[in-house]
Amino acid sequence: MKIKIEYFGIPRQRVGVASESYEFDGEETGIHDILRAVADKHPAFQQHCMDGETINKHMVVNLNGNQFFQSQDGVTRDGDALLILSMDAGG
Amino acid sequence: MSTPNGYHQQYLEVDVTTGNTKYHRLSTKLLKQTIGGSGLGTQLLIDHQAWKYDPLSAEASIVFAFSPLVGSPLTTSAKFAVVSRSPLTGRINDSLASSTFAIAGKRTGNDALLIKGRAASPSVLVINEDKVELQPADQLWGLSAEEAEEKLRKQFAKDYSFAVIGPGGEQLVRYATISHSGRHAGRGGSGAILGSKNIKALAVRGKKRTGWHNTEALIAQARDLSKRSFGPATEKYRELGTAANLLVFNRLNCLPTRNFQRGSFENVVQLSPEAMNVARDKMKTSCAACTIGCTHVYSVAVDGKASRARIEYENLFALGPLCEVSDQQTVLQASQLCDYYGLDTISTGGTIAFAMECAEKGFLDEPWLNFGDGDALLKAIHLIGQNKGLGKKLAKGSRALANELGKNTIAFAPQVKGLELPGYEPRALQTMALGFAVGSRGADHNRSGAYEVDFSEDVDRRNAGTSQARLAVETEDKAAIMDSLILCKFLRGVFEDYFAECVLLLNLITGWTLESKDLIATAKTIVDAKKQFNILSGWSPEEDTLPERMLTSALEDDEQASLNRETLEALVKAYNLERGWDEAGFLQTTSTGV
Ligand code: SF4
Repeated sequence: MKIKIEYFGIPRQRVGVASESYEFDGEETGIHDILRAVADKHPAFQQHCMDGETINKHMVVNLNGNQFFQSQDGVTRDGDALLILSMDAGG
Repeated sequence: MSTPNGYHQQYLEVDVTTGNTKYHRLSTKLLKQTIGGSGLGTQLLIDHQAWKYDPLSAEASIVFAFSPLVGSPLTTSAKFAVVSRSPLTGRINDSLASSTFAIAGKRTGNDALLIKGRAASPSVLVINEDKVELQPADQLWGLSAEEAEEKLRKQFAKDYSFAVIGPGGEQLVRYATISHSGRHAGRGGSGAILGSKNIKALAVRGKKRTGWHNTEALIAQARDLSKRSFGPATEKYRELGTAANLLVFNRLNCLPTRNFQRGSFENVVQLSPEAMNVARDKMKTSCAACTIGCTHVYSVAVDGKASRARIEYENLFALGPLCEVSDQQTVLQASQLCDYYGLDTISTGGTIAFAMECAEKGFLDEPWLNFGDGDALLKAIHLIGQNKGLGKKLAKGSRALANELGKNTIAFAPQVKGLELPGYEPRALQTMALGFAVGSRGADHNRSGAYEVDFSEDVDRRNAGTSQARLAVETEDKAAIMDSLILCKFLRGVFEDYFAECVLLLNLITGWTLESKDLIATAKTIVDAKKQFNILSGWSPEEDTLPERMLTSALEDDEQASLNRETLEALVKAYNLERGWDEAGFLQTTSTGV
């Protein structure tokens, strides 16, 4: 399965690109595993956006522009877009 | 009883018609129940029956309220609230701003300054501790706030600080700002109130300090807070500023575009801070006593001259996508022009975008005023700031313009209670839709942080349920404390236990022994007082709604983003009950005292 990761705010600053594609085996991949793959590829993401094995509390992920996940329990399927962004809005 | 640390326990009333002054004592009970800032200012306005008077009349009062934290080593604490009845909405208005004005103003020996009356001619109100006088400001009238402040700095001793209006305030633009060191008390038109009083500027200084109860522990807390303010919770603000929201909101279809017809803007990328960082020189600034520094200022050439423009998310959204203007240079210039005239960027952009739609639909005979036309945007801002031609109508805001045009244009005027909506599309962020509808000063993202709920996994942001009312109340309570203590909202992410940490700071300064639950009760008292002010000024339950278009049609580019009247009414009712009010939103008691 192939998913698109879109980065916004600090995650984009750390990763250095607006988006990239990842491929995984199987029909479903957990958000936790996707974040692990991103962190493995981008050490700056691990350092600034992760807190050990989980995304830090100042970041949030969103699936396809719909559901937000802070718990990282969600799963993705082929063709999904996972957005990773800085938590606070406000302005 | 002795004066609590952190307070002078008095406020100064100045009548600028006569020059008379009066000092009023503030009871400890009242200070505990209002803290300072917005809370204190609202109560003083109730005491002075400010709800009775036309905000631009001589009888109207305007309060500059400080707080027990002002002058302390706590980061982001150099803040004050400007509180009045709004000339734009007719309801309570509290604008927060940071600068040395807060510190110097408090050192005059007062916890608040209340101004009423009307000076006979343009004046500077000078408060030098107990010496209060009016000095002529004829030389300053017509200048921008920045130009006027520069002249005042040359004229006055170094330890004075200033709050100044621009030409917008002088011309009584209903959304004119009050500026100080490049910062602005922005929303709701407090600049027009000073203008109506013929007060171009306040100049304040003093040497009266208030003590701290536990200096050692306070300094340790201040150090810890400063350290945390450099951490990941504020990284976004430090590195990109609030403008970082632009691309996120666009992706989630909640970036108001084309006068709230769409939730995304095709040409958004070129307006993003990511793109501006590549194309332009940038410098970062911060308010006085702030370790975060969220203000990003970009280079912009105007008429061949090098200049700079401050960019925040709200300026970008209102002067860019909302008017469908995508040219980076034009949006920066528009933002700079708003600062020049002293205009709230949200209301300026909102009113112009509304007028653009009216012109497009044939309700307004101004064929030059087209969506996407940067020159038209700049021309409209000039007309507003100079109060000329169409600018005279636009200067009163979108609600007044709709009322004048008739033909149900009010259905798409982007306002609640007369205050133009900030950059959060309510159909796509429905907890925020509730926050806007019930906001005491109108559509407001600073007194309700309900959008935080929409950006969490707790709710479906496009399908609100009444359980969200409690979450909206919680964010409003937090904001009420933040605005009364006063601390910057961008600090909120660094607190682990918000109320416990805030009450600790207050106790370390004052010597009180309050608990979190007391602070939550104070938040409710403050929100109640604002509601009470509004009820006294003529509020009715019908005001707690959104523009008709947002309740009858989905976003053009996201059909899932729709909201109807029944849903919003159910949310408002749930909110009112959660607040302890009756279903319609009236307080259960009618006392005007705290
Ligand atoms: S974070 Fe920004 S708005 Fe807040 S006090 Fe600092 S510079 Fe001012």
